[in-house]
Amino acid sequence: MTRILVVDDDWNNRLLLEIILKEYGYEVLNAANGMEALKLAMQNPPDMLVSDILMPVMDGFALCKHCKADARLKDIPFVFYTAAYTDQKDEQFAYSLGAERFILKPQRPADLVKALRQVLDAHRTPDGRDAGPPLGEEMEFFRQHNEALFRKLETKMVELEQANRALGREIEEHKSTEIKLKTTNDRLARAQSIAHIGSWELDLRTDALQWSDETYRILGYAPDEIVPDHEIFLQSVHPDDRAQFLTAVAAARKGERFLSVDSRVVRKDGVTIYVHAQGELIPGDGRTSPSLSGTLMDITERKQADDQIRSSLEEKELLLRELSHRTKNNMNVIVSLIDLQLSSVEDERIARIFEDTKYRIMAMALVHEKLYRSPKLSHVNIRHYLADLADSVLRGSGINMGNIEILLDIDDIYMSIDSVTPLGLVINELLSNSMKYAFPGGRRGRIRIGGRKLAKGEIELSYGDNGVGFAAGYDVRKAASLGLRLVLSLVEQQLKGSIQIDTAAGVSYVIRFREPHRKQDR
Amino acid sequence: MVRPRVLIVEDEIIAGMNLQALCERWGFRVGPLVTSAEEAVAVAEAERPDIILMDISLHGSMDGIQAAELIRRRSETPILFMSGYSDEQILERVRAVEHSVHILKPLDFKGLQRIMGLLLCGGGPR
Repeated sequence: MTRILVVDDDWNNRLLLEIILKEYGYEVLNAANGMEALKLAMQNPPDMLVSDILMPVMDGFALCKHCKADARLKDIPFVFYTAAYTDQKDEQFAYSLGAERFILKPQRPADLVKALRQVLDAHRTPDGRDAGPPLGEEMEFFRQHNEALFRKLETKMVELEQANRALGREIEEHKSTEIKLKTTNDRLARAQSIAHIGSWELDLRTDALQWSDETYRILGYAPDEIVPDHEIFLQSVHPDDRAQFLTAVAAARKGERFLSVDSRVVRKDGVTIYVHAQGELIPGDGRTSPSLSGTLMDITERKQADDQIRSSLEEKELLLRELSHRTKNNMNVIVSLIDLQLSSVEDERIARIFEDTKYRIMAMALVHEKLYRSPKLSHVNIRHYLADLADSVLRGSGINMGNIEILLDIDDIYMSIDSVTPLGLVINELLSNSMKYAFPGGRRGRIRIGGRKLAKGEIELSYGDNGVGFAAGYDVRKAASLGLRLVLSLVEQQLKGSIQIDTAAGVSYVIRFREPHRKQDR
Repeated sequence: MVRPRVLIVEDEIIAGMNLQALCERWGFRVGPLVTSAEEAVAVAEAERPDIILMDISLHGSMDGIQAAELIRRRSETPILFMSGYSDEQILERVRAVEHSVHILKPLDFKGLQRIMGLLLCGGGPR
């Protein structure tokens, strides 16, 4: 069987050739370079050598020269099968070395085998061509071998140049992508720094933590000053607030999608700040770990502003409480003073006057008390106020409380202190009058007080008793009683309202007025 | 029957004078006016009054409620607080003192007389 030694440094090429040649019935030997091939051929000379040119250790030209110089090998046909050396001069050089054939890669298997067979056949004919080294001079070989190598080098240089240029373009592209990425990153960082919002990401499997530059800054570090980790972060959280974070992260591990925590954090420089952390769970997909991705916001300023507002509100409330307390205390002193004076008054009519004054003051004090307790602070619900006032006047009158029934039908109407005080005084006078005159001799009776809102912000207050009423022909408007004069003046001049008096059965008053609009009222 | 003894603690002199006059008229034995919490504690200890009228805001380091708390350690004497305060913080503290009621200033004197009577009978709102 004809044995062919295939020499190629490329494993694939060797295999391909081996398959083709075996298919055509040749026995195949393999060598990866000239040196290997030479050793193999010396030990066991093949019937033919098929060699690549460019190979490490010893190239095809050198192999060919060695073979043709060796007495045992010089008659073995030598075929170059190459893709790399394609220059005309290479082919000439190959032949000058004594090669039998120079075949360019790639060839169809059938063509390749045909060419090899031709070489083998020609060789078997002894008169074919004169075997023997055609090259006389050793120097000539080196010269031509060098030239061939040089040509090869030149091509390689060109290829390298092209490869370089391609690489350059790639680097360019890479750079511009990098610049774009950097611009985007810079913009993000700038946005974060302007908004004082940092971002972070916590790997829920490894607890690895990533911070944006702004997150570092918020926590008092220079960007990348430390490698953030969950533990370091927790250490900086105020001890009282740590549980919040742990709970939130634990919830995320259990699948809770959102995290939102407000807490105090001690910055690297020891200053305590308030932060708001917000995050969203990014579930893992087998390849990636589940993670929490979120933002960190420094809310210290907002918190301080909130605290300031709260403390100023508290201050105002305290002031209001003190003011209310003092007002009532002062009124107590006035009432006490009148009472003291009263104790030295013998005349019952004069004593009565002092008593009346005392109750007028009490009526006004009641406004302050109601005002203090009112949820609106500047306005009083007259339904509550008039109920308490009626009760207080009735108790103070000394009349048997079982005898008089007071019926109230008043809507929830909030009125400012400017209106409630005169209104309270008016009702106080009307009540006092009823107590004094309407039910003489333990007469039983009823007092009705009504209040409702009319159209266009008008308020109507009605007061009536079913007592003995005024004497026939009594003109209320001409009456000299201070109480009634107070009622008329307060309604008409202070409240700018109207009053209707009906004395047909008992007494009845209908008062209408509007709440004055003041700019500072809401 | 022995007339009940009242201790009046009030740092507004006019208000205090009037209370003294009223209480005397109502049949109480009335001692000198007391105007500080410290004095109130001492007098309550020495005089053993049957009832105490106690202003809340007093000059000095203690207020009327603190004085009442000290008095309460030694005696069950009913205490009637009088003040212009009507906020929860104060009322809460007042409620914590047993055998006491709070009435708002300006005082309704008829109401005051009635409540004093109730407290002396061992009744009253509480």
